[in-house]
Amino acid sequence: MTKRITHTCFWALLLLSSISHQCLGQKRNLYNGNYTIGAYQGKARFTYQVVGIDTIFDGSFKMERSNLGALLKNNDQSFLFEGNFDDGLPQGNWIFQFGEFSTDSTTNVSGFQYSVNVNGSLQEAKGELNQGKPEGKWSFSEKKIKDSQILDTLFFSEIDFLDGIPQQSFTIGNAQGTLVGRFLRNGLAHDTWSLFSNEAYNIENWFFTNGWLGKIEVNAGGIPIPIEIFSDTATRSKIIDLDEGYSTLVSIYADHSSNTAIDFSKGINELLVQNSSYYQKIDDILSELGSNKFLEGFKVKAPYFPLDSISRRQLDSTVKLAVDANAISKGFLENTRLNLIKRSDDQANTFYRTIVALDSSFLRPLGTLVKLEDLGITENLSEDMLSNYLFPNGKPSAQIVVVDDNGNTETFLGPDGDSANFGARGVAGYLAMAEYAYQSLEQIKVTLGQKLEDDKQQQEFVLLEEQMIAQANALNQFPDSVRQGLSKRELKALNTIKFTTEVLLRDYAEMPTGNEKLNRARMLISCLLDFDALSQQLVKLPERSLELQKKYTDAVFNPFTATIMDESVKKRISSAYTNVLIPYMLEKVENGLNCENARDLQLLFQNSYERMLELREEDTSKMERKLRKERNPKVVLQLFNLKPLEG
Amino acid sequence: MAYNYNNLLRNLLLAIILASGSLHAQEGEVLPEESEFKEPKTRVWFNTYGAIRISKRLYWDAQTHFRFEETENTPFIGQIGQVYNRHALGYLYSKNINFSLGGVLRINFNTDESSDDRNVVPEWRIWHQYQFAQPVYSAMIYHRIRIEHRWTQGFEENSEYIFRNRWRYLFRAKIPLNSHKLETGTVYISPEAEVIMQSGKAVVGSVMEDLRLTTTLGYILTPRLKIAGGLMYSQGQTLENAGIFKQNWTMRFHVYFSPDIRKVKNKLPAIHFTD
Repeated sequence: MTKRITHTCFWALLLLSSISHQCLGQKRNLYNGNYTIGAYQGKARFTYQVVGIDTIFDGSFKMERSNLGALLKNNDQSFLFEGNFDDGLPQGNWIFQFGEFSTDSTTNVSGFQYSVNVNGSLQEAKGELNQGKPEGKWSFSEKKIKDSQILDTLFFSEIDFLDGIPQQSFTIGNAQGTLVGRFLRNGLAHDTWSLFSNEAYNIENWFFTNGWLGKIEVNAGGIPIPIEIFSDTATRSKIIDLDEGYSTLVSIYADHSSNTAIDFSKGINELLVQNSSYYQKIDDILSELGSNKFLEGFKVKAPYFPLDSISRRQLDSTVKLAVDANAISKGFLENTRLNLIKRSDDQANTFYRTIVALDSSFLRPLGTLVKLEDLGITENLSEDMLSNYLFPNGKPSAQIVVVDDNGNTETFLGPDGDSANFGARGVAGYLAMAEYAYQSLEQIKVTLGQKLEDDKQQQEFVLLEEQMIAQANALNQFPDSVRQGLSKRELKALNTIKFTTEVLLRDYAEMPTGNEKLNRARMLISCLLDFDALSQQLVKLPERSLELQKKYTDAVFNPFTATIMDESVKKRISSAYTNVLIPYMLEKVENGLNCENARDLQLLFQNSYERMLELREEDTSKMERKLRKERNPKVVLQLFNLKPLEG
Repeated sequence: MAYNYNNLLRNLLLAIILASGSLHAQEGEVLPEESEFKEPKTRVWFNTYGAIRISKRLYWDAQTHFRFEETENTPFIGQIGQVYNRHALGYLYSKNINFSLGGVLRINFNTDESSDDRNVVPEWRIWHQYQFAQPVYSAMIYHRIRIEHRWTQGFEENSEYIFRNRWRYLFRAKIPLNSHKLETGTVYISPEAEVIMQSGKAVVGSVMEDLRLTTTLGYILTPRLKIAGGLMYSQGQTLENAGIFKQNWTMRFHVYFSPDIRKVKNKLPAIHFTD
């Protein structure tokens, strides 16, 4: 009976433990150490779960960096990110701080702590996140710090969110002024957005109705100037983000309707751009952590002129051709060699001017189109507005007239220039222009490219040959004092190098010009470098011989004379080096020097010398026995543990 | 005290009379009116000298000499005279000063052709020496004091050992001829003079056992091997009669070797004792 109860309890316990094991499978791990998020490197402490092969942030997260050493030395860029994750998504209160501080090294001791005076700026963003999206009030600020005190607020913004959508009223301000405005529940800009100077003086107003910006009012010297933006007559509209594209769109419409230019680098637009960059900074960090929903989410309405599918395809082709053509054009205009040869070569000069003309008439307007496309606002401009915006002076002609410095004119007509129809309405006309510009540049590239290539080769020859001759002249230019120290054999080897150089240069000179010769020139330069290194090895021989002689000598006390005498040690090794290896290497230089073995030879001279220095210290008794009467250099090399020469 | 004084005076007087040579020098032997010099004998010595380094400061001094002398028909190398084994433990106090202490076994051969006595008798010695070297310009000079305690016996059957002390001082120079110092390949000339005094109960009057004047020419093959050869003239009082002097002309040939049997790692630093 007792046994049976025990048995049951055992199984119950096993079941319980396996359940708890299942639960523990979800347990959080703690990471505490160095961590990198994008460009931020610092110390992090966070909890995470491992699910399958994925690591998911879960629980608290904190990462920071500050460096006192850097602060004292120069300046320090510190940061702190702190918040929570729930199942991989940011959740709850978060704070982000970015400091940039320097110090005047004024220190205070308070209690048991040193404090250092800092100057600089501190950016801070804080608020709540719900599944990665901003929720409730988010505030951003950038403050100027002097002597560890807040001196000034450089920027601030306060926006309320509901499920990532901005709500109700907001304020954004900087040192110049403060923008106040409000949103509808769906995030659309609404009502009047007003910018006040710090003296509460109204500078600029944007008038929205359900996201539709009808009018902007700029206060110039107390007189409000109204500028119509989107007229009420537009047939269709579309909700878009209030971003850089929208700013551009507004400025295009403003230019279109009014003679008063709006400076978009100031005023309301400036604040919106600034605010956007602060949000982007946080989004960049959260994106690295696996959530990319942190956006300010301002929505507006803009006129909409959708393209049909044919036009859409044409526009895509136009963009691609314009980008490619621009790359070719830029390549030529920035080519230093073309800039040089156009001065002496009339044809090159004409081509250059043609490219300049193609660039300004075709590529720049098309480049603007590419930019509008990048901003995503092409379809927010009517056909006429777009055309006027891109070509305020009318569309260009296929015939390009180039005038040279002497007033002579020359006309360039690209491929199919006669039949090009730039006047076609809408995107088709732009595509024709892009095609024409691209084909023309391709055509120019064929002729001009060859011209530049020839010139490049010519230039390369000049450079290489100059270098080669300088190297050949420098070779063997050793002072008499050095040469006099050399043995007959060593001098002979040195002269062989000089002679071989002359033969190589003569053979090179006789080669026909072309790529093969160019390759030969490059090869000879590296070969002459090896020859030079080999010569250096040869002139070092006497000095090294003395050095080794000294190294292979011991002082020995003779008790009969009571004097110290020099005794040569490891004689078989020094003899093998002096009487077998050196003559062998010199012989190789004299009778077999070429570009292929010059490097190996010079390395062998160097390595054998270094090996001699090592052998003096090593236990060589076995090797010395083997070296006895050994006259074969290959065997000696093997015993010395040196790589033999090939062939 | 007065007695002692008179005693001293008497002894002094006796010494002066003895020195004048007008009285008997030794019992049974009569000093001649004038010193007598025997005809010089000719001899040849082949000597090996080993100094085997065994530690930083100690070396084994090992010498073996083969000494020949003339016979009636053959000058210099006619017959073997002595075979000489001299060993000692040497101590290098510094480069220029060293000491030795050891023993000698000398085998003496009876060279008296007319003698019927024993042919070979041993001779024993204990010896110690003190050598001082000094560089002078390119040469080296050496002062050597050697003291020997010597037990000898005659060739007669059952002859008793007699004990004597020998007091030796040697001055020697080694002057390189083809080099500015003594080094491998150097030929050097070495003049030397040694006086050997003796004392002991058996020594009556014959205190100057030997005066040796030698000149040698040497060659240094390696720092561990050198050879030398030279000619020596020597004279000294015979033990039997202080008025009779023996004389010798000796050709000498030497081999000097100084191997180092220490392990390689112990050789470094090679010889720097204190400098």
